[in-house]
Amino acid sequence: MKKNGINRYSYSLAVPGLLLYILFFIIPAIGGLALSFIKILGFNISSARFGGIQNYLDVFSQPNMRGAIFNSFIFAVVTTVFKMLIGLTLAVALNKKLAFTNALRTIFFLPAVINTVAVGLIFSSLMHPANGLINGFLKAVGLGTLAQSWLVDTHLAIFSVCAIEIWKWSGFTMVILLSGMQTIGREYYEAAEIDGAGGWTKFRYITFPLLLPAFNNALILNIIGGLKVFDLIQATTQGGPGSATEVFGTIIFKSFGSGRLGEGCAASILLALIIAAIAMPTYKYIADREVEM
Amino acid sequence: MKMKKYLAIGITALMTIAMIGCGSDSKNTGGSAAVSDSNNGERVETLTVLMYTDWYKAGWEALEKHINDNSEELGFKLEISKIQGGAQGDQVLQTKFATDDLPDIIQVYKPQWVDAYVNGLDKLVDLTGLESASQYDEKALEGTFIYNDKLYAMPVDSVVLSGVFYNKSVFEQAQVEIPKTWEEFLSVCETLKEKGVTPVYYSGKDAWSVQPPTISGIVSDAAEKNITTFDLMNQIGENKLKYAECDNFVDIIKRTKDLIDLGYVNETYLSDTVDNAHQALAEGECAMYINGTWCADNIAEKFPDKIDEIGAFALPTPSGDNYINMFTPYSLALTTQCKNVELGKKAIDFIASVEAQQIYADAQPGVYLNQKVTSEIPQATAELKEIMDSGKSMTDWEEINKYSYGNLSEPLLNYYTGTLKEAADVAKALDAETERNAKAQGDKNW
Repeated sequence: MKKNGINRYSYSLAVPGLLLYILFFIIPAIGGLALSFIKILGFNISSARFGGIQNYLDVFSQPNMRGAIFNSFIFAVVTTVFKMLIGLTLAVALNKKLAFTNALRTIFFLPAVINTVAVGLIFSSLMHPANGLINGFLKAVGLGTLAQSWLVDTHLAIFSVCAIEIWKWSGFTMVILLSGMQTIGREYYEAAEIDGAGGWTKFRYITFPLLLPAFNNALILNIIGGLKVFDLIQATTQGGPGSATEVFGTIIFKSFGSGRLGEGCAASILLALIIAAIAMPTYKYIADREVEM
Repeated sequence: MKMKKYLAIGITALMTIAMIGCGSDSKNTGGSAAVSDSNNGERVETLTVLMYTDWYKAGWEALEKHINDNSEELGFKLEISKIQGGAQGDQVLQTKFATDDLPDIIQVYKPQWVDAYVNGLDKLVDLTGLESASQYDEKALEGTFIYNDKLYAMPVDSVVLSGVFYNKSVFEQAQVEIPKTWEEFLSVCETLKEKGVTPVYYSGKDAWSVQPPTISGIVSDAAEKNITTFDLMNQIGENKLKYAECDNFVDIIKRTKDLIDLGYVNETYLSDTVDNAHQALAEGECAMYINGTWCADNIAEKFPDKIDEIGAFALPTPSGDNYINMFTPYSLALTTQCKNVELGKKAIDFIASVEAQQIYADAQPGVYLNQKVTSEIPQATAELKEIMDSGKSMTDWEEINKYSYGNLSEPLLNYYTGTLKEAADVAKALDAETERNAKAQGDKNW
């Protein structure tokens, strides 16, 4: 009887959250799934009809779809690798008591809190081929041959956007990894030092294995963020020049923007499935190798 | 424990009530119409108006002030709400039409847009018989404002004309004349290039701005077939004609790329913006820029001492039969949500009248469709108006398509940067997008 009372008490506390979750996630998600099987243009309800899997097929017949998928994966892989590498390096470097440790942690984290549109505008200006500071600097120090059309060269543009993403989010990755490192007890390192272990050995056999849960979270967040990127692309290149930096997110945006709501929903669901298909096995693979402290 | 339990239940109930409270209407955002009595005992009704933020400029500001200052005499006041424009604004309007959350008066692109994109033509009031309509050339209203034989809206704001804007001083120094044919145009470009001036400026960073050089191609196709752009776009909307079959359109796409390949266009055109273009043209760094009369307005505002040096002409074609595109003004329509339809009609009649349009034009000079309105416009705009008045213009086809062709600038830039190999591929991309939208609509012609 007492257990039932506690249960009711717990459920009553969960009710507001559940209501919000059902109202703003479950119902729209079911609605989106249903709409993905409907052929409709804009809000012309009278023309709406069941379209089966046609919307899903139409997603793949989009003229720039192949390029968008390729770019999405390039973006996810490049940014994830570099954000993890740079984030890990920064976390290791700043996991020590130095004079400016806290200030440096803040500085490296700051890009993450800057508005993406502002970042897009700033980098569009910095990367202008003729008037941009980056090319200006390269020319000033005698490296003019390295000056590039960063955001408008069709082969280079996606990597330039990757670089901006890496700059923006490496500090965030650092914070996740740093918080993981600070849970590792000093005694492991003291024991290793007594055994004569050097810095690399301590990192390889103590830090990294015990950091895996935080590393796993950061990795999955970066993969998901990379695959569903939209805001930064929209703020810097709008998918251009032409469709050179088109990604899955911009394709979805265009489907919705053209009023093809069913196709937009189908593309969103496909993106969610692709992300789940990549993120879940990756998470499990790493989680299986985690060690307990 | 019991106390905590009651507290938790109490908070839960409170939050639920708060949520319900948040969901209730705190303000009536739909049409109409607050009524107040003036000092003279006259009834003054407030009519709600909705438009995009970027459509509310100096003209509207002056007109709104005039109306609200004279509301007792007019019998109505305006309460103007503004929402963000662009694709997001279009979606907001689609939602508002779908949910009947409409103001008394709404400013939209045009009735055909309301029909094709919002499916809300039945929510607009037929304005046929408005007195002010007689001040407009019926041909200018036909097709755009008179749609399906009903006058669904009256024009508001000015006409935009598209052509080649050029710096007269640069032309004089290079001793070149306004070209009449494409061959002459290339010759002018070559001379300018030799003189060290960028002949033509493209501003591909603002992707939309690569479209204007190509859009007169469809007008040439319509002229060649001896039909209007309305007729031509109807054929495309009914799947009787493809963009890729419009030879002049495909040809001009190719010619605009030829300009890049021949080195007549600024090298950094993919990074340069419309503002860069206006500055380059005003300061004589480039000789020509192909765009709408926004260009002249912007130069007049930012470089007032340079505006007299800017002229304009129609983009030459190989045959020399040159046309310009005319972007019709926005539409002011009365919605069925307006409780006092007669007053709503009276308000629109006044706004479209020469008195109100003159106030609008004085604050915001331009080319106005009301034939009695006079306005001081830049020389370049006047030169394009002369071409329009001579009958060498047609309503821009981009505004009157039944199904969206998507984004012309995207395949164009793909063609310019080599991702698409042929000019016809650009037109085919428009055909593919049109087909997708027609099929999504369930159109039996597709």
